Amino acid sequence: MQAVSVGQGMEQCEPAVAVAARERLAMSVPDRMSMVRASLMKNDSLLKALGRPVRDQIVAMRPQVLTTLEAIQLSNGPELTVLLRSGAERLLAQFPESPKELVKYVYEFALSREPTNAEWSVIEPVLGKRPCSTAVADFLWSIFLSPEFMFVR
Amino acid sequence: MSLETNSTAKKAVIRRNFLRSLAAAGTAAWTAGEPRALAANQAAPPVEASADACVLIWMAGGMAAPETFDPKRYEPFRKGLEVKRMLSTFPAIPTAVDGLQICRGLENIAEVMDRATLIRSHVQPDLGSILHSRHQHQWHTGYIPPQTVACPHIGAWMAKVLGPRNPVIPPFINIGQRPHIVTEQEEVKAYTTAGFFGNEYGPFNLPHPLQAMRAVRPPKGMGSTRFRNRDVLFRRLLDRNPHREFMSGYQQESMLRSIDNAVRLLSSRHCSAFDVSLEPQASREAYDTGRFGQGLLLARRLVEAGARFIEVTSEFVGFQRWDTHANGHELVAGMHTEIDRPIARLIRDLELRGLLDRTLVVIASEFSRDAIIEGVPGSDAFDQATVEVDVISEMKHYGLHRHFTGGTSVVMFGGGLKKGLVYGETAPERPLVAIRNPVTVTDLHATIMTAMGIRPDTGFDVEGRPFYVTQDGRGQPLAELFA
Repeated sequence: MQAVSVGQGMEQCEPAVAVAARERLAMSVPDRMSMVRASLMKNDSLLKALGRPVRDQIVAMRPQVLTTLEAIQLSNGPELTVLLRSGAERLLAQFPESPKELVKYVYEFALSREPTNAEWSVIEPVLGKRPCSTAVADFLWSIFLSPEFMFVR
Repeated sequence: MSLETNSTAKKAVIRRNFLRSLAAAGTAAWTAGEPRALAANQAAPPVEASADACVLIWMAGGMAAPETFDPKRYEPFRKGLEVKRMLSTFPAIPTAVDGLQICRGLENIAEVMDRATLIRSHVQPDLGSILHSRHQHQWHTGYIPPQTVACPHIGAWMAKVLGPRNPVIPPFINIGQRPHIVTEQEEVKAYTTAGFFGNEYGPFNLPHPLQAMRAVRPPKGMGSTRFRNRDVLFRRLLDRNPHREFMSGYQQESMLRSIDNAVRLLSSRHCSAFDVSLEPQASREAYDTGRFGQGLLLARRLVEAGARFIEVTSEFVGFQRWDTHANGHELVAGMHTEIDRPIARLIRDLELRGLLDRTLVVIASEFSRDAIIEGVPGSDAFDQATVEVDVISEMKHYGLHRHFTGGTSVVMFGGGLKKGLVYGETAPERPLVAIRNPVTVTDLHATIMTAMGIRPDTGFDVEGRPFYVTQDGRGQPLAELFA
């Protein structure tokens, strides 16, 4: 299962992402560090929902499937809800005029492809001409919970 | 996943079988490395369940048997009392069973003891210097830590072998332990887990009973309409996803099914079981002696809604609550008040609803306590009492301040067990060790599992080695306990 990579965020993204990632660290790291090891992240319920084990338990393998308890966490857990909301606000600031550009950016960033016309026809009425942050957050949730995003093929 | 389904797993796994077993398995997760039921499970005859649900009332921290369910000679508080004279600091009271006495402070429970099987001879192994979490680990998993694999909690065993009773209610629910309050927090987490079974069978943690509803509601700030719409958007995007046809791999199917389950729970009418505020005022007050009582009320609602296994803990907080290192008498008096009314009420409520016969309620603790002995006589366990006096000069000296593993009480109600039975006995004078029918954790677990319809030698193949529900598959159920 592929979580939003912090390494990527620290490496190449705008400061906003780095700051968001920084808040999830269990300890401080130098400003110019290009990569952060996953072990330095707080093991909050979101990371557990993405399959991270308790550190002091012997685990020979990571679970390969999402469980119902984890899905509940991803559906209503506060961590992801807060992250999606701030992500939605940032994206709206980045693309204030064009929901289509926003959607295209998310698809390229998350799925390395453009949305198809069929997908856009579903998203367009949900976002409307001037989307609000809750609509964008729900759109992001639908992308991040999709198997296409979760599994590396 | 049913054992039958697992038995076919040794054959070459073809995709169609995968999908069929997934469909049969409902909420099960089927991963490449998932432990497989041992072939021997199939050969052995099944046991008939006498209970469908189990509520474990966990008295965390070491509930002193002589202060609760096994009263001994009572010595009232007085200055100059020799500590070695002290066996019980509460006098005995009669119960609904002729000749059976328990300690003052448990008057409500005394009235329902005619529905109980009381084991007075539960014993723990001598593990040297005592750590609560090591004994708690053994009690909850059947295995003494450390082990080479992560051991599943008994609730996870029930979730794995029996599955949920009601598909929208998670089969293993854990009520009342706040993760950040305990002194041995990482150790507690190490047994509050499904271990090698994987998270699918792990605990659904509800540390705050009054807020349990939040765990099954859409996220804060999201109304039910928006929650539904989000799900619709998700599904429509899935349908139109150009890679949809490639989404039939078992991981993806399993993932989508998990999301379905989550949405089903979060929007189900059964969710109301999690909401104790819906309970009539009088009933809420009857249970409400604090978070523990609220937890029992929540447990009762969840049993009604179809939960499989629920643990309600009095909560482990080092040096407090049942973990009396000083001022034991007064701390225990407080615990009596907290547990007496709600436990008795739970038993009566389950009985009134016709649920007690098929619900096994177990009150247990990791060990007992004693005024003098740490561990068992002859143990090299390090003395951890915080007040070391031979003669009592003030109230804080009065109580049982050492951890005792030689004779512990376990109370069980319902679930097909006998009513009004006392099993085993401890010595009348110190050392208060079990002198008749000692019951190990392994045999106690075998009894609980048998009542739930799980053979004590049920095992799974974990990384090429067998691992059993009771230690090495050797647990023997206490046949005399069954009605």
